[in-house]
Amino acid sequence: MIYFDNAATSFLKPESVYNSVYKTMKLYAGNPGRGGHMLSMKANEIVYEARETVAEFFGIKSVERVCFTNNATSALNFGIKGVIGHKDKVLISGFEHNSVTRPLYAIGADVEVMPWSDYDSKVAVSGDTKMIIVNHMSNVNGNISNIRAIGEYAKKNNIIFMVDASQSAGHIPINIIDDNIDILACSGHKGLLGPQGTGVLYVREGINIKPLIEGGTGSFSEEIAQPEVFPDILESGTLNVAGIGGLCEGIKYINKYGLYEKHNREKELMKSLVTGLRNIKKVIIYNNKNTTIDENLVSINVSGWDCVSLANFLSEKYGVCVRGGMHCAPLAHKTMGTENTGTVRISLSHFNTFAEINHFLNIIDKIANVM
Amino acid sequence: MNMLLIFGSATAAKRVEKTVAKYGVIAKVIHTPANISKSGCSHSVKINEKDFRDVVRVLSNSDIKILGAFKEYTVSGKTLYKEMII
Repeated sequence: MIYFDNAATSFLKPESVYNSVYKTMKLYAGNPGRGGHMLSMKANEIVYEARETVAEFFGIKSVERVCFTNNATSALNFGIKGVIGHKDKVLISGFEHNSVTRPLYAIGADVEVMPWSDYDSKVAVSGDTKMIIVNHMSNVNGNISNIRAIGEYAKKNNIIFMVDASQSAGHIPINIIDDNIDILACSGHKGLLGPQGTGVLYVREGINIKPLIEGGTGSFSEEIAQPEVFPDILESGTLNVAGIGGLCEGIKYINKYGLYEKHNREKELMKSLVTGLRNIKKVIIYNNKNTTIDENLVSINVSGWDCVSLANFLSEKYGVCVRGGMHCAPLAHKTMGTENTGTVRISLSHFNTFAEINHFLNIIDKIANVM
Repeated sequence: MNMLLIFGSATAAKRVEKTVAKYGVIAKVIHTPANISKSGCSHSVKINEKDFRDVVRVLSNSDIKILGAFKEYTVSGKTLYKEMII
């Protein structure tokens, strides 16, 4: 089996992640912040260490502002619905996932999509824009938005800047201070190499956010109102301690491996893949707007093949896992001009090998030229 | 004699434990006894009384808010608490 669907979820994880999840479930998974017995305290320690590790990874000064969620979708929903109201004006990139566009539609926000040419350095907004939301790395074609420049613009204009780092976290350095990020949402189970069921939301101090879910927090229990202290305000209910502990180990692994080294390995693998694909006639590569494809994912089509049928065929015939379709991001496909066809997305991990790339290229060559 | 400092969340209490450890202060996070908890469930940090003022001073330079401070003492084998002014 060749797994090239790491943009959906990273399948291979470091051994330390598997071991941590098992060990926590087997030995430590009390309910963190709920009671004072040894397992509750141990669980609290595991979650706290994860919070510290996440905070350090993204340059977050206050560890309490790191909230754990079930996934990036939950984090994005919290960040959007907790801050944006009906008819509030929001500027988004043309690569936003349904996790951004659907919540905005649901609350009736006044949404404007910025032109692709604006993602690098400048954005043009009207005076009453409340929030700018940018997908740091497109889950469809790997397009990178210049969040630092957009964030600087947002800061100067007193606009809340939210970044969806679902695809970039764990691949590209992100620093919430340097990148001027007010709200950061990301998955824990993709580039950060944690288990499924983990996500992260950071909310800067001073941002007025309402919780979407109220309930038990293990704090201020006599009060009927949800506590306003972070992270409790956004963390009602029992946390996924084993998953969060695993996420912590995923990030620690990246720190040890080196984020730049991991990214460079992914870039080298992608370079090899794209170079090979470019030599196969009938393969259409959907570049980001630059001519190079530096990140760990790329979208393609093969002439004469329906994208989903091709992905299914690759799995059934060759044991290759890629994703065909719209990737839950129809806006991105519209931006790319592939809204009527969809694409086959190939997304790599540093765990992949050049031998896998070569084998895959041989398969695609055979499909494109023989079948 | 020990002191209990009450905080708004288990996360804040844990942060205090780790923060004061940098100053050589031994602190332990505990579930706050119900009779002194300021508003139901909360978590506290237990420290030695001798470290009380130092800890308050350290935390006054941070964004961590102390919700209450209590001195722990024992009468006839029973643990009691006296609220202190911070």
